[in-house]
Amino acid sequence: MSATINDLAALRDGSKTDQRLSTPARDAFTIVGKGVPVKDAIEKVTGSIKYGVDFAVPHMAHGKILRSPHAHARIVRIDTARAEAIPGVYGVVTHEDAPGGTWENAWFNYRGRIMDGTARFVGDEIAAVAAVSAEIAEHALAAIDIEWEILPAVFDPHEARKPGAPQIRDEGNERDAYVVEWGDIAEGHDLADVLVESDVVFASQQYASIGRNACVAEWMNDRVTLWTSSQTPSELRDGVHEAFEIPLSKVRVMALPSGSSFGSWWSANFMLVTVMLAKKIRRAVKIELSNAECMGTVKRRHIEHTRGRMGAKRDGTLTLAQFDHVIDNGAYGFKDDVGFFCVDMWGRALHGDYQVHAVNTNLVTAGCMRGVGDITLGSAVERTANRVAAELDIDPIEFRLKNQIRPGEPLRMRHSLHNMDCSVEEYLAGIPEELRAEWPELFHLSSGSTAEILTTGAEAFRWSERWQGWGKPDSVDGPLRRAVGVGTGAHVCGVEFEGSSSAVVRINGDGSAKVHASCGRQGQGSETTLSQVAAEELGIPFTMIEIETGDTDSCPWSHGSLASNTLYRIGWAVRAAAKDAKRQLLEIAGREVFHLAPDELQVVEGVIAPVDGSQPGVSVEDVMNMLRLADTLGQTSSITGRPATPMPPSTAFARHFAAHFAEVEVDIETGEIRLTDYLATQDSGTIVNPQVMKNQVIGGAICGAGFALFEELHFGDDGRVLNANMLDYKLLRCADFPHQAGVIFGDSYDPVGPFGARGAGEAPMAASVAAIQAAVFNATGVWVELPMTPERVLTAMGVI
Amino acid sequence: MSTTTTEIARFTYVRPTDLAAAVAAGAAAGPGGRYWAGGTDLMLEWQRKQRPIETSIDITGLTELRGILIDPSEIRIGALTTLAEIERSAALHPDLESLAAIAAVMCTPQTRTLATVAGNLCNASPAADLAPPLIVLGARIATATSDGGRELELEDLFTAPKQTVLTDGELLTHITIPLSGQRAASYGRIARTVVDIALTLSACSLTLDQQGTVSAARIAFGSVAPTPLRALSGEQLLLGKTLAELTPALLAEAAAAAAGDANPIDDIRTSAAYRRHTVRVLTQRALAKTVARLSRGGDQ
Repeated sequence: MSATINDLAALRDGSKTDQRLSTPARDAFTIVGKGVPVKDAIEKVTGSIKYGVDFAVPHMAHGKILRSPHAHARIVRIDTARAEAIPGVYGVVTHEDAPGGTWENAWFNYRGRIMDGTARFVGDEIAAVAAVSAEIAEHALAAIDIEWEILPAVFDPHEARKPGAPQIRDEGNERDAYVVEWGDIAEGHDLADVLVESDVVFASQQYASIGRNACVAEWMNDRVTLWTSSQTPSELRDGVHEAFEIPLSKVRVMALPSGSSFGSWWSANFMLVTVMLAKKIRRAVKIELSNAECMGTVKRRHIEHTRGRMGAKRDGTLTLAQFDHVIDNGAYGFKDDVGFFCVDMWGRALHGDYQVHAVNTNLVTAGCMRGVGDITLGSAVERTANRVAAELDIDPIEFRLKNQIRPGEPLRMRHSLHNMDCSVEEYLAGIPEELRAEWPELFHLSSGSTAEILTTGAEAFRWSERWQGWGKPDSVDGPLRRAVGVGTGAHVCGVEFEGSSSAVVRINGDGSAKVHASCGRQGQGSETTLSQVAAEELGIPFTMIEIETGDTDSCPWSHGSLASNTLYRIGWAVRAAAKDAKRQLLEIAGREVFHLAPDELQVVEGVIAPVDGSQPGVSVEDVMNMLRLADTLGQTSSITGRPATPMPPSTAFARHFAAHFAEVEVDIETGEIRLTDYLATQDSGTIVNPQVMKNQVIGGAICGAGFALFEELHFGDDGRVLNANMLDYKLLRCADFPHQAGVIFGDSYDPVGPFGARGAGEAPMAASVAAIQAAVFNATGVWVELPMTPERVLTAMGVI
Repeated sequence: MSTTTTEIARFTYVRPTDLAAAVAAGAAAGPGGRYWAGGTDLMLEWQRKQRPIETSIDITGLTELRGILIDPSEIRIGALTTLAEIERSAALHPDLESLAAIAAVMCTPQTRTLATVAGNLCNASPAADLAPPLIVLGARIATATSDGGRELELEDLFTAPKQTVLTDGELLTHITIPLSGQRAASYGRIARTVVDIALTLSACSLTLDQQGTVSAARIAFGSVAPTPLRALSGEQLLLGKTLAELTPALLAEAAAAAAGDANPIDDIRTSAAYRRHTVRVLTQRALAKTVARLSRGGDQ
């Protein structure tokens, strides 16, 4: 597939971003690939959409959480009598009321009891009050009397690893190392003509989602319902089940849209505190978090530290990639890795050794934020690779084309092995041969790469004209230096062997259809793209499809919207369920109307007809009504489809890729950096909705740019978050980002994802950080530590 | 029962209909009284419990404190004039151009619609964006109290972060900018993103007399001291000079001297070293821009 320069120019100026370079298969799609408006656009702009903070039930109480003022302390005695005596207070919960179960957030973003009498970070949940108003509840918090035993605290992950360090968790502070290695590192050293060492520290990024969150919980006898904004409805249900040790059937999560979330709103302990409080007072209760609570007590990105080296031959062949990476889990994070898919992207290196060490500290819990691992370890690898390329005077695009993975090549990460409790061979032995026949080759990249997008992107960005060489600006005007940079990123499209996502598609009597798929609505447009997938498969018009994403009583289990998996994995399940429903529909139509086999029929725009046109069509509605009138046939008046075969474990082998091109202008007297031009290219297989995808990609680029330039949580000496507010936690605004930024999509087609689609959300973050950092290097001649604040720019340049 | 819900933090709300009633309410309220103008800082302080409010005196209805009046000798800006009105005022008078330009980069359009000039000044943030550009225009403020009022130089208003010389119940009513000679003013400001308080801010003005020599020079800083700061040290070097004598080297020298007056601190926004360095760079650039304006015939 090639594009003309005119096509590229049109893509570049944004006039053609809706139109992908097409393939014959894609030309046949009716709704997949169309930039239809997102389904909830009008709800959002009119304010009728309900987020967690908007939700209420009649007669509910209002709760507030008492938070620890200490980073590490044990409750010796807690007395709630004064608080309980305040008029308007319904009740108080403390660790003495907490159920015994340990609950886990998805991907070990939290592991612990709801409360256990020990505070492990400043802001940890200690108790909660329910009252007739939030003001009274807040007032009553001050009337809870606590005698503390202050424990030694540790904030630095390196310190927390040492023998004799304060122990934060029963399991110990450090998880087992996560190791990925291949080849022979010593040989990689011997082969290298150039060797570059790196030592990079990454500050913690805050999700800083614009929307706050709240949770309403209500018990009816021994059953509980929760309403809260969550990207992971099923995982939240599992967490309540674990903590309260009650059957899954007694927990109903009604997840609401979260708006921008970036991983912030999966499951959070405050939601379980709400459940606990509602149980104690036997009344519905709502806990609404303040902005400071959202930013200072829920979770954040890990503080990370990368040390390592890369080596290459004079011709640019990478001989070695060796990195040791330490992450802090904060108090309740329990991860042993960050999803570092840079390992696979740079997997052509002849020899590799990556180690991740995860350590708990007495800082607020750390968890997965969009681009987890990519914008930290991944950007450190990008920076190290760039320095190798600079030593060799090789163009960064050429260097990447030479050293980055292509389809069919082996994946180094073998992330899935980490989640399996048996060998791959043992696993495969249990899979029927006919199912495996459809699967792509195990542990090899299934489709896509950076190669195509780097090439088309470079042409559209006029890279060869603008690139002046490493450390060289392309224009100088007084103190202003302009230069370009390129960066790449990759991420999985879901996490395999963590439970198979499912979905249900129901065709109604009027020919409309409802999709039930548990996922998040954080602005990524899944309610729209999943509906497009269902519409395409069913042949029912898009406008007749609606989707339920939040109700765990009607949606089968899925991992939720994390790890860039929604379209790939849940999308696969939706398509499979739609196929199953359509098969049932066509069986009935074939039997009752056409007297043909199902595979001789098709559904187009809601009308069922023989493929060969031999008989006039009949609407889906008419076929469904035949069912109703003839219920003696033993049919129901609706058709329910679900995936008929297990999901292929191909998330082990699917990746999405991003290559971004940035131009910056650096004021070398003040250190200010301005983004002056930007082009994002993305390989996510088939683009189901180009408008949604364009927003997703640019949103990722802006979020990555924020991490590159300003975003950083500051902690006090006592472990307290100092800037849990939007004044001093600086997010980029749209006006800080080049408004003419372009987006170009790659042209790969995934063998497993729905209609060839893969995931999308996280690679754009990684590529953004790397591109901007490289551009700043080219403008200034120095590598500036992240975030590249004006002060750090001047420090790196030796000006201050 | 000794504990009741009335202990929950609340304030008394008073809405006077004229200035006399407002200052009377202010006097009656004593140290717990706060005037409510735009409310954009006050509301945050209240929510964050940074400063108790016992009585909120809502002065938003005092129309006599609104608007900009220009006569041959001065520009008079009412205390309740909003940042949005300042932003749109550039065409009214050349001396308002730099003020309008700085208002346009403050906070957000929504906040600018509510926030007032007097609020920005009386909140007494070291980073108050309007203070340095008003100080270099020689602004004075007028206040009212239940037994009269006074006038003082704006630069004398501030005593410490969040503190002013205003007494309990004393209400800033308007700001005056005296008009004299051929004057130009410029500013430089460093912020992290498009919505941010200044990491450093420098404003300067130069006034030429009939002979074309500098008869008045003013330099003022924001975010580099506990209060908005007039940097006198740099000004002396510029007085009595002709435009031709205001060479880049002299401006650099004046900027360096001015920067010596800065007394910045390290905080989570940036370091003292960065502030000290950049306030010099900004001053030098602002002076150069001001000289260029005067060379083009000034703002007149």
